Amino acid sequence: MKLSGLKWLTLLAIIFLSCDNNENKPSGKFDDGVFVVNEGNFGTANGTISFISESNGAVTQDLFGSENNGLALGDVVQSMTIHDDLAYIVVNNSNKMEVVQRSTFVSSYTLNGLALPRYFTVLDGKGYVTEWVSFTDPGRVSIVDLDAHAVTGSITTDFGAENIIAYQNLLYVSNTFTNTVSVLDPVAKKVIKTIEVGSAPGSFMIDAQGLIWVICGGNYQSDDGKLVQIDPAKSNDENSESVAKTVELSMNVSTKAVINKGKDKIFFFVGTSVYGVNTTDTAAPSASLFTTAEASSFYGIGIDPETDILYLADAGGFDANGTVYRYSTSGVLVDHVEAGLGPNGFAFE
Amino acid sequence: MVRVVLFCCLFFVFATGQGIAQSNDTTYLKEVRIYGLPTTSYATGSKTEHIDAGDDVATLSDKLINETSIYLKTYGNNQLSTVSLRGTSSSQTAVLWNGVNINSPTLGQSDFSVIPLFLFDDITIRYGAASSLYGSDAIGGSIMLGTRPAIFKRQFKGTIFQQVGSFGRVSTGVKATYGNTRWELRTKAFHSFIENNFPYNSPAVGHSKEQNQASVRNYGIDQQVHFKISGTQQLDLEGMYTNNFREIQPAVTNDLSNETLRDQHLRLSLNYLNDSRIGVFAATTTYVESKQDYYDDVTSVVRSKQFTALMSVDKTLSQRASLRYGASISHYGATSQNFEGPISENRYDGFVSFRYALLPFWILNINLRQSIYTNRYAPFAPTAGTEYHILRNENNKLLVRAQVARGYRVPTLNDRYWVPGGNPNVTPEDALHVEGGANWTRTWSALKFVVDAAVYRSWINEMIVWLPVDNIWSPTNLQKVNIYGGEITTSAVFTEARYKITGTVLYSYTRSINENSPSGLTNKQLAYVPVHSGRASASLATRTWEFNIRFNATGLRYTSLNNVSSQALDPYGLMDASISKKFLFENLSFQLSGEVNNIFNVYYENLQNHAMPGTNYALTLHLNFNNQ
Repeated sequence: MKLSGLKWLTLLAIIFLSCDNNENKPSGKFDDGVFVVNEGNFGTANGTISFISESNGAVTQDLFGSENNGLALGDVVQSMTIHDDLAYIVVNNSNKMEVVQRSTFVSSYTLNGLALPRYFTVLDGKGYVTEWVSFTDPGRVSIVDLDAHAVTGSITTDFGAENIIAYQNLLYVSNTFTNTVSVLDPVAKKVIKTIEVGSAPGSFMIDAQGLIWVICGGNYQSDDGKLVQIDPAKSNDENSESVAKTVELSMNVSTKAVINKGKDKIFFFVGTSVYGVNTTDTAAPSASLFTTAEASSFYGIGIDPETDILYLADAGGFDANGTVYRYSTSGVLVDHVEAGLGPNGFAFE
Repeated sequence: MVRVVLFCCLFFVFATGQGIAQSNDTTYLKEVRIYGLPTTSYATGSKTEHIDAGDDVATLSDKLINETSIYLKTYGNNQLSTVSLRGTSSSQTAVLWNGVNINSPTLGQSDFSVIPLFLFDDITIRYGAASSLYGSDAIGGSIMLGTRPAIFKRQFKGTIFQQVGSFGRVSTGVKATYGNTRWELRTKAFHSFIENNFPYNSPAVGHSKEQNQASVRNYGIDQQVHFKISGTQQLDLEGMYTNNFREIQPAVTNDLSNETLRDQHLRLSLNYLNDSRIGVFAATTTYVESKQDYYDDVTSVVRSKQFTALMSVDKTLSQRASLRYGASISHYGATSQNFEGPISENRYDGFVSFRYALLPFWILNINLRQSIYTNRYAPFAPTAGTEYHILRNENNKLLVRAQVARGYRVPTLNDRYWVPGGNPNVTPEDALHVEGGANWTRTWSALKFVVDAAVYRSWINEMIVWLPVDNIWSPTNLQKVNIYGGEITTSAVFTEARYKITGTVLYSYTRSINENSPSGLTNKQLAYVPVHSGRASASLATRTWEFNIRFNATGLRYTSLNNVSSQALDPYGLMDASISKKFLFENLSFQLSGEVNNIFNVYYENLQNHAMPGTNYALTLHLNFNNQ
């Protein structure tokens, strides 16, 4: 085969661009951008995933419906996790997880029979999904065989098993109806330690020192939200103190938080204000980083791991499509785009 | 010439597709006679519709869906059903029983699927705001559940109703009335069950499924005692208990649902009427107790109690003028896991109405009400209405009417006391309503033709919406909605010696426009309010045979304020038909009816992703005995 110079250049450019942006990702419609999880209205199964193209900012609504003959994704779409070529979409009130090809959004399989599932992660080729189970039973983590597409077992944690993070071969689960974080050994399939943090623990973050942070929303109207730093080196010793540091926030805060690209600053929100806390701080920030006056109330937060752009989801009153506001980490508004109904979170490539 | 007109009318009625025998001609209250005691109606200028409850074991929801163009948001077949009267929210319709608002004090609305028609005699729908007459919630309209006045004559009659139908429906009802010149006793009881295991094929699921969590059991009893104390005094006692247990029908995508709801209502009333020198004096005391057990892994129980004492005097001042005034005291109590302990509050209402005939054919009417709840004033609610009879011939009547009214809605106990999020400072919703209408009744020997038209506009301010702030939902007076629309009802009845043909066409145009909301979107149609809805029906009746056909059409309904077709429920049209045959004996009659609903097996939804049944059938037997 003989290629002309121009064709060579084109080919090179393609290879270059693909390497630059995609790192072995399959090419597809939804490769280059950010996914918005829109939970929809409770009970009416109208949750969706939107896609914001990174190149031109264009928004595609309801990826699942549009790529799967108008099927409904389900009722209260809680979270989306990308792993390898697949996207795992946890649908809370439909008691299922929809698994799709991440770049085309064509349905791959459905994992049914979960009980109020919340978040998902992968460790050593196995999937782990948190489930509230019910409002009267303790929550659990179900182990998913990603080849057989089946649940193979479960580990009971505490009430309201919410966020999950895999770190150094252990799993950390925030039990959001309580004030505990459960540490799980996925090999032994058991809880090896229960760490007391603050009330209503939520998102986990790993900082530059390799320590784990968890945000705690606080008790209703108690102004006792906090950021708790956990030392994973203590996880295997049941009797040692895992909490390395606590930053009292003296207000009720979101149970969702993110950490920047440099892994040294944590962002969370209260109403329509976003706060930043340096991982070296020992006290609550004296003022918010910014407030979005035109927003109704933030419902989700994300950060692009490549560009360090903050994404804030405003669900409004759930009576219309929500809005996504993009900010720099210094609090400068980039732009805002329309999401779906009830945006609550993001998934980044 | 008359024949041509007649033919055209019939053609019009039939060509539009419809159906049936309507007993709900729009009429306007003039005087209501309660056993010889006249009380004057002060609803001058408004559109009022009467519906005969009939002898069927059915719910108020079924009846309104079948016989009016009012939109009900139903959460499935025989499931939660809330009303949207003239584009307003489900909390903006007052539902009254014996003159007392029976909307849930915690939720501020009524589930029309648990109001059994069998236990009531008739329903009056008054369209438009009228808080001056009906108090809180009367913004979109008011629905009065009524008891037929006692007639105090020697009688013993009864009805037995038995129905079997698709999806495991079995309903039974018994009614009996015993009366003499002093007493009238009425007893009613019913039981109804539906398995509701209907198949459906929702595009959101992509394959056929069978409903497996939607069964409903409904039963209730009503006892009335009417006593004529003297020629001018009367006592009425009524006790009613209803029990509804249902599996809550989930969204089509949800398979493991196990939620259930038991809804119990106890309603007691004692009513005293006296045609005294000061006027017709009426005193009513009612006690309404409701209990809801909602089960979703765990049972949560909400109880509410409501005690009301209501007194009024209706005085005819002269041939031209009449006056009504009165006051009421209500005590509410409620408990819920989401209240910080039992909640109680008192409400006090004072009201006065004045009606004056400026000319024999021109009536003016003013109503005023002030309500106080937990030491706060509800908005002062006046209404002014007028009716003018342009034509008053026996065979040709034309009336025009107009009214302006204020409506309000006191925040519910949940709005104020729910933990977490309840906001004690939330203020009442406030609406201004204007409307005009005309009613033309023309009779040509065997043909009676009625057209009623109404146009209206409402401005609703301070509407309460619940908004999430850091995952805690809390109510605020944020929303503003402007509503305008029109309704037209046309009916024709052709009566011959051996048969009667009836045709009715209804159409409603409703623009319920959002002016302010958390999303910031303005000038958008509210969710679940169809712009267009209508129905048409026709019936042919002989002495013993009756054939009915009806077609209900509901336009597109948006499910969000974005008003895009991807977030909307498709328009649908449902065709139903029924046939019945009566067998008459001396004191006894049987009526056997067969009906088929949703003939074209249309898949439709009234709440997003909540399936409704396709073609279904029912077979009904009515047994009536009447021993005068």
